[in-house]
Amino acid sequence: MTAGPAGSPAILLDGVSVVFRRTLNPPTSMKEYVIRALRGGLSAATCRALDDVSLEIRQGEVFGVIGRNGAGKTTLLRVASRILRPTEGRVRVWGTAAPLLGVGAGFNYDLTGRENAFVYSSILGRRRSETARLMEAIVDFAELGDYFDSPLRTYSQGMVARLGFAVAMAVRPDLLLLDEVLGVGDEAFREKCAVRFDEFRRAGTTVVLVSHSLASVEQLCHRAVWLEGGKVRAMGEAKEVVAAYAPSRPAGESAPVGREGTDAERGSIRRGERGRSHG
Amino acid sequence: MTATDLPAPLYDTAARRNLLWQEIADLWRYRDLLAELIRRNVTARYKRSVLGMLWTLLDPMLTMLVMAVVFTALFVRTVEAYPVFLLSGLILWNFFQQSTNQAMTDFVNSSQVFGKVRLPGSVFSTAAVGAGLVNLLISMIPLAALMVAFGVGFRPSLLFVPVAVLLAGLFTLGASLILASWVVFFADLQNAYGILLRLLFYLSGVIFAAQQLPEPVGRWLAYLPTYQMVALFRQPIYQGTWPAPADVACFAVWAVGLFLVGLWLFTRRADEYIYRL
Repeated sequence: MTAGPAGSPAILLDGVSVVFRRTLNPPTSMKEYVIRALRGGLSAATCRALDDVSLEIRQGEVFGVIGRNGAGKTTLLRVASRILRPTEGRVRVWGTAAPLLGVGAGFNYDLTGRENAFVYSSILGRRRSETARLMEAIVDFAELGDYFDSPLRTYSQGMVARLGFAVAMAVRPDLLLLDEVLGVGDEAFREKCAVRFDEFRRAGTTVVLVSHSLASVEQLCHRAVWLEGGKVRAMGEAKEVVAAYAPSRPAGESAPVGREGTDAERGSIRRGERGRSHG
Repeated sequence: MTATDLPAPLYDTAARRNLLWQEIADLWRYRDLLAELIRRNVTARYKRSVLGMLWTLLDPMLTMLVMAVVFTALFVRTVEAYPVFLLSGLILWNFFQQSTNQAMTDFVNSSQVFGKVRLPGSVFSTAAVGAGLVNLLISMIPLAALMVAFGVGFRPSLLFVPVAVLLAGLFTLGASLILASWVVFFADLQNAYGILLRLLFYLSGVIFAAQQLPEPVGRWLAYLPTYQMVALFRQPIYQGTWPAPADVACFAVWAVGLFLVGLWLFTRRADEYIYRL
């Protein structure tokens, strides 16, 4: 058992900073590099995507991350999912994380849906035999019908997204890191995704939700953090953090309820009861 | 924070680790991905073409034909069964060229995947070399046909060919890892490498035998590892003789050495790629 009991930490960040060395106009070619190095012009400006962030996300909770664009929300997810190793600080994670969702991660448009499902599933670290066992459920969930054995280039964007989602979410992860999700597919499919997330959550999956929709963060999350310029501005009860953030946010930035699939989210990832019995 | 009563985390950035061993262990854990990528590289290459996989056979044959026509006029008197000589060198060179190029391209193109899922980065280079090996095996079919046609016998020295392929594979993987780790920081490398490859192609004895060149040029060329790689593969097939132990040992040092250097260089920066891809 890798994930600890409910309430114990799932993700711990201690003084985590992520520093991107941004050479102003980074040299992308050797010629440029040599010329600039000779001129002594390789001055690097640094950009702290995360700046001394310490936080604790507990097993089984739904944790919200809010803040403006460029505040470090996605970087936080990448650090927690082991993609990005922080420049400073310590990260500890208990349990396995699902991949960050995104359309067509590693898809080859000349291969069929089935072939791509096998490739993508192995990218997620699954054995081929396991994928073969899951395939029926994947076909079912993706609702691709006959198209499943056609090349991906014949798919609509929504179909590609459905395939990606079906493969990624075929197995319940310990940690679900969602970056402004549920923007894919039609209303019915979004509802289906939300139902699946809710199943995961009730079975004990820890959910980290990055969202611009304050309404969904307020309704879905137990606790939340507000990031600004890579720093923690506020952390605590979701309601309080949202209330603190709301006045500072420039007009028109938040997505009103009903857009970006918030209806579906609200409909199904219901706020779990605190201290619920172990899943 | 009091961490004493917590279970050991699955991931801890403070834990001591050896990047090289971690990469090898991850590569083993992701072996099914490796198989999928090799399969994809081999089959997707000609997926849209009418003849499909047949191109894997046709491509080296047709290249050989063109070159044989061009070069026969130059070498026909000194080299017996020149098409066999040429094709045996050519398919090994193609393996080296395709694998190293694909390793770079795939690693750069993998940025999309890399930003979403944690993966051992070397899986792309390894898959490129693996796919190259599969194509090399397939190319041996037209080579065997050509040997029959030109009366080049199948001799026991052919038993050495797997060893030559293994060493060439290690050498190519080492080169691929070095190129992949550099191309992330310098995109121009792909163009510069194209030119270097062309030069190496003419120096590595694919189209001529070193003995045909005036001394001491021939002797110098024999020091080139890519020359040794081609020669070691060709000798048991074309001449039908066992390579000298000293020659084998010399290239084996090159192959294992480049592989280890490549693995070290690649894994040394394993955490940085994501910042640059």
